[in-house]
Amino acid sequence: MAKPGYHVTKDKSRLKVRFAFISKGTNDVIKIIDYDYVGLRNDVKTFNLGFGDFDPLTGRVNDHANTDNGDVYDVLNTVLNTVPQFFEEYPDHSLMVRGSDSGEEFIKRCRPQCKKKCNMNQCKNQNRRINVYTQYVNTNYDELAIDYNFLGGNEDTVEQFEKGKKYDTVFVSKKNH
Amino acid sequence: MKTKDIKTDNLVKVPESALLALVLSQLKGVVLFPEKIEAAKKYLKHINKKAAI
Repeated sequence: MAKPGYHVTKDKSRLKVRFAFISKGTNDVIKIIDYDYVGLRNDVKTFNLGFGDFDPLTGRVNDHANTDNGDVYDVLNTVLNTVPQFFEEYPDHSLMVRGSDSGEEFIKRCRPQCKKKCNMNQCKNQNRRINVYTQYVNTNYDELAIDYNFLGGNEDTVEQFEKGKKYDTVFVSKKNH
Repeated sequence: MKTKDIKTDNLVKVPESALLALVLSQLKGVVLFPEKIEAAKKYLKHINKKAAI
């Protein structure tokens, strides 16, 4: 079920779907959502969800930006509303969602500029984004599970999604009714 | 033919949909999240390998 979010403009090319919208909080920020083909999993074509801010001065997209634009739920809803649109284009394919703040690389980037008092074994900023997505799936699982299959992935394993469990990666595919 | 540069501080108002379409056309064919895509590919390969064992 679509939740209130921003209007998106779509651009589809071979094995890629891209959306753009304007976040209208404190500032107007152009956001880009990409679905890129990344390979096969169990012989199913899998796409990765990418999301970031477009910088009109450089023409680049920053997927590490924390815009703090005051419209986090509108932005989240807008991203989630593109998922059914992706499956309209690729109903038999699968989608994987990972946070741009997941993985060892993020910790290396975060540590030099971070003001939080983390010890060497932890990073309080790590996995915040994927946690937002898994939290959304946890909260709405029963409704979402009518139309979609969810798998949860960690470093070495992919399993049936379990509510409340932490995952680095979430795989989504459409059920064939 | 010589073109004339007009310098002005006036802003042009463009409809939102036209602006987004312009941005998307500018970004056509550009890989915007190369690191993320590579990391995702690497993870998929790793998972497939683990599943095959």
